[in-house]
Amino acid sequence: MPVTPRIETQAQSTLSPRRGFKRIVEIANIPLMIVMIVLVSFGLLVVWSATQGSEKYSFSHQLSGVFIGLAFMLLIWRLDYRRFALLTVPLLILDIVLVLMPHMPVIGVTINGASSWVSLFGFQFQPGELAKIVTILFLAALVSKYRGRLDSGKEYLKVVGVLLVLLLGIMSQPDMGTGLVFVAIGAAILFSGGANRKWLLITILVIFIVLVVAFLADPLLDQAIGHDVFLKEYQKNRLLVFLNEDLDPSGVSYNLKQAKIAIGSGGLIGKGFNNATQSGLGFLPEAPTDFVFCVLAEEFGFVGSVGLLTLYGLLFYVVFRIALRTVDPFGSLVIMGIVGMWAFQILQNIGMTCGLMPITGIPLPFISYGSSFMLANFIALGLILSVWTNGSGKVSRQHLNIKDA
Amino acid sequence: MSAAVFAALIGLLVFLAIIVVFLIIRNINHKHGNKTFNREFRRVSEMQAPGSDSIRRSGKHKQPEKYEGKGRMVSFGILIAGILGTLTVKLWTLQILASDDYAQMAAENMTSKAAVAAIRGRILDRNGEEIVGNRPSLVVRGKKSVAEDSSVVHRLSLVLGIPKSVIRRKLLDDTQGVQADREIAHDVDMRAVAFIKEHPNLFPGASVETRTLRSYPHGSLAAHVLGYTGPVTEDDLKRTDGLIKYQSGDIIGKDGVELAFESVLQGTRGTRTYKVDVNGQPTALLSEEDPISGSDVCLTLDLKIQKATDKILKQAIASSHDRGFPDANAGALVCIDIEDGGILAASSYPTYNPDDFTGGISTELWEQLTNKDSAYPLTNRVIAGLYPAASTFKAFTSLAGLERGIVQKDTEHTCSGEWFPYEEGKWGQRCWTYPDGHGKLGLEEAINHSCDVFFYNIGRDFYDIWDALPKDAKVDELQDYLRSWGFGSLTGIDIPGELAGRVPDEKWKKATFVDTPEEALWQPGDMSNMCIGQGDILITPLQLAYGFAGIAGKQLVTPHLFNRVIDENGEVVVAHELAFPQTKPAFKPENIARVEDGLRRVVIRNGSFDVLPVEVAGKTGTAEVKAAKADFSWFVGYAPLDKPKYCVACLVEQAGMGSSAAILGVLHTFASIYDTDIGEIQVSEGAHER
Repeated sequence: MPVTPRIETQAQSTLSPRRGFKRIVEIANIPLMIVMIVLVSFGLLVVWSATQGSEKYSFSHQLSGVFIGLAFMLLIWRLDYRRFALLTVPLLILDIVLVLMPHMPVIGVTINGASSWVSLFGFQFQPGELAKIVTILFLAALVSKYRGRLDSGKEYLKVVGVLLVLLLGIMSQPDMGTGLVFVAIGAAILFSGGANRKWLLITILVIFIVLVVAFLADPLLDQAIGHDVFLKEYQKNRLLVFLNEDLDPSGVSYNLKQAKIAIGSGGLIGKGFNNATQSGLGFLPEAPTDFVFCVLAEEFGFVGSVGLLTLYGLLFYVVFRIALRTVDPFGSLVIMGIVGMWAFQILQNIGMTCGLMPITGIPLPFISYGSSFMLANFIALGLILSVWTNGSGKVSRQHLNIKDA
Repeated sequence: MSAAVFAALIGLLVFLAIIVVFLIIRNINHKHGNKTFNREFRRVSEMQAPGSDSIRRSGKHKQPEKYEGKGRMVSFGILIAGILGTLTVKLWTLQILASDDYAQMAAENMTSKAAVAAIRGRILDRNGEEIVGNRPSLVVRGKKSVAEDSSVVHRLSLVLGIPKSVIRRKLLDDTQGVQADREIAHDVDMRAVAFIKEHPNLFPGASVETRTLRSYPHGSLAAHVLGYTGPVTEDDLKRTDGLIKYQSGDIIGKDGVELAFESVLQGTRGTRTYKVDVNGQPTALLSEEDPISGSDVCLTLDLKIQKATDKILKQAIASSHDRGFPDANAGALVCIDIEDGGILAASSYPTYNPDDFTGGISTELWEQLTNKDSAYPLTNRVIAGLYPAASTFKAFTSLAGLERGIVQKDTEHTCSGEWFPYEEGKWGQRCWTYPDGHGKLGLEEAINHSCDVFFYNIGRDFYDIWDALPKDAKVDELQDYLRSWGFGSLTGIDIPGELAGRVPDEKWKKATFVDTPEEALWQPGDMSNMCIGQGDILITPLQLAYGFAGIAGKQLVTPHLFNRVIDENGEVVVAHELAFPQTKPAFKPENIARVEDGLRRVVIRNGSFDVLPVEVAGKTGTAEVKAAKADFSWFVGYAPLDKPKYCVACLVEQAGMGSSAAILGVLHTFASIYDTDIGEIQVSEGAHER
């Protein structure tokens, strides 16, 4: 039976250590904490193994990412997430700035042909990861205003239009993967936010038609204009490999094949920790980042990979419970956005490595190497915890109503 | 199996867990009905908007505070459960169902086997002296792609002292076999090796290694018998008949003894299994299997005699130039052990150096070795040179005539230099002495003086016998007698490339001249020509030696080169007592004795063999070859007469009469066998050059 935290007891509780502990138990959502700790530990274990002997990736970097992330999580947790609900315009501005940041001179950094990085004060990070969170907050704030019933086509178009602007910004990096995550976030929030079924169906239809037309017209346009317009050659190849594995334009299916060998050869219980031959001997490309799941599956086998899926399942269960008992539509939608983001990333990342999805570089939440990504995930956790502590019970409703009034 | 069941249980549990999770979520929702509740909630919340104490008190009634989107959330949750479930199923197929296949692929990824070449068996003579051996050599190899890197090719050219074009050609040469790295140079000196090894960055794709190469301490000695080796080719790899499984980079026998005894000479390669990374770099040695050297093969060849015959043949040919036959350029010389059929020496000229094939022969040299101007040095004329038998054949036609009763004890013919089979002036043929004649002579003297007319008569008589037979019951009696001495079929010598030659008959003629029926008719002239070894008869020098050894030894023993196999410990594994097929031709001993008498008279009359300590019998031959500028010279002889042991046959192309070059060849061979010092064949300075 969930216990409603009481904001007014905050001042009291800090006075008594016993009560403080009790309060932490009350507000900390122990199941979520446990799932988080297990998940992050599991991720660190796999990354430790995947970064062995690598010059490009260092485990300590990942570890520091986790600690910075934890710090940010606590910070966000302490904030009342509801403050963001009123900041739609600043959030939008921040979002656009984050998305366009890598294009700025001096601080923008291009790695592997994608301008997704920014270098500030000696730190490199991907503003796109933070933009995901800001987008969640922004869209949730926007959609929650309709209070679960977004029937007006005009209003719906407004939301979709703003989303489209952000999407174009991300695609200009170009970062197909993050762009798709944006779409997933938008879909999750619009769907959960009660957007009219008619508009949702029309949107899906339009996306489908646009994609088909773009894919068909792409070669013609490329020819007419003389360079790649929509899809780059490698992106087309990835799609073709996905549709037919035996095709191998420019060795693209090599990655997929090695990934599947890694996963499949793990068998039931895996080759044992730090015993992965596929990643250890370098057959697996980008082992610590996009193909980290293969390392996990190879070392810990079916038991390990299903264990990870179970952890994700538990995470979603706990988070859904928080969302369902939240009285505040904004809080629910923030959580739905986060869930949509994670679910899509899990589907895309694991699906890609086992041939269910086309190859696109999307990291695996809490597992993949990358401190910006880790930070974004912890901020998301912080928001969920903030919803847990601040978003349920009358106080929040009261608070909102007062603001509305 | 139990693992699979275990995994199945886990999968099932996860699935159930996911279903349970969603039943719970649905349950929360269902308890309160969704749509009606939601609308109600909206109303309520709107009504109670400003500061509602009543709701605060009813802590258990949190549900009404939810809003309409929650139904959607539940659907969303189900979608996520579906995603997780799908991934689980996919992982199940990969990690449980197809696990073995992928495990094998992973193992193939990470292991690499490197072959360790086995040392090839040596080839020895009958006394165990080495003819072909092995030697270590420093070899520079390069990947095919190096050919495109002009700077690397340039540096290699400077260091190795080989023209750039040659390096490039060697790198791109597919005849070197299917190995990934092609040999650029062998027997590279230490200085160049040191430079390449010290500057690996200057020579990407090139490598230095020590390899065991075939060594030929006697150069081109007996090259045609020994054959040569080379890298295994794509076609060899596809071959599935042999017991040995070849792999790219293997060196295998390509011709002669090297090819014939490949299975004995070739060792079993060892294997080193390495753990490799994605770049193929070994990270650990997993297992090692030592190679097993090939066995040594002892041949019947006698190095001493072989050395002599190679030299003698060359000199006999050169000496022909001095005698006014400048076109003499090729020949064959073979010495057989009459008792057991073993080949003591076999020389063919022109010859080649098997060492040129070591590590792959260059295209240039290959073309040179296979063109007409150099008289096809690769052809082993002993077994694959086809020539008219000429007068040497008279020994066998004599036997046929005697056995058929055409030649009786007192049969004599008169030679006037010209001969007409049936009517004076019609279908005339001439004796080689024309316009002179031999006069009246019997068989032995006809052999001695090689009188064509006597043998024309034998031919005519055989024709008459054949002609008298009914059309559907023709028997080629003459040919059958000749064939029983091995002509027209393979002797069965144990090296590849032997040709069968031809004993013509009516059937052959019909088939050959099928388009010109007027020439296809079997005529008396065909028979008479055959009886003097001309016309369409074709034999190899080996067949002639084999036949004469048969006359001398009264039995035909399959000629062979194999003597014994010695394993790496020096022990005899297989001895030559293998039964080599022997046949005793069904000829009356007294008939053979008459022919032998004739052959003895030939040598006595010639006189050159008097210097030898043994008595010799033999026969000259002067083959007319239409396309050639001069006659081909034949001589075949055997010794000693009382207990025949050695039979030697010699042919020199375009060297004129048999009594010239070929006799010298046989005479000097016997001299070397019997250690008789008769000096070398006299050759003038200029003649050698040809």
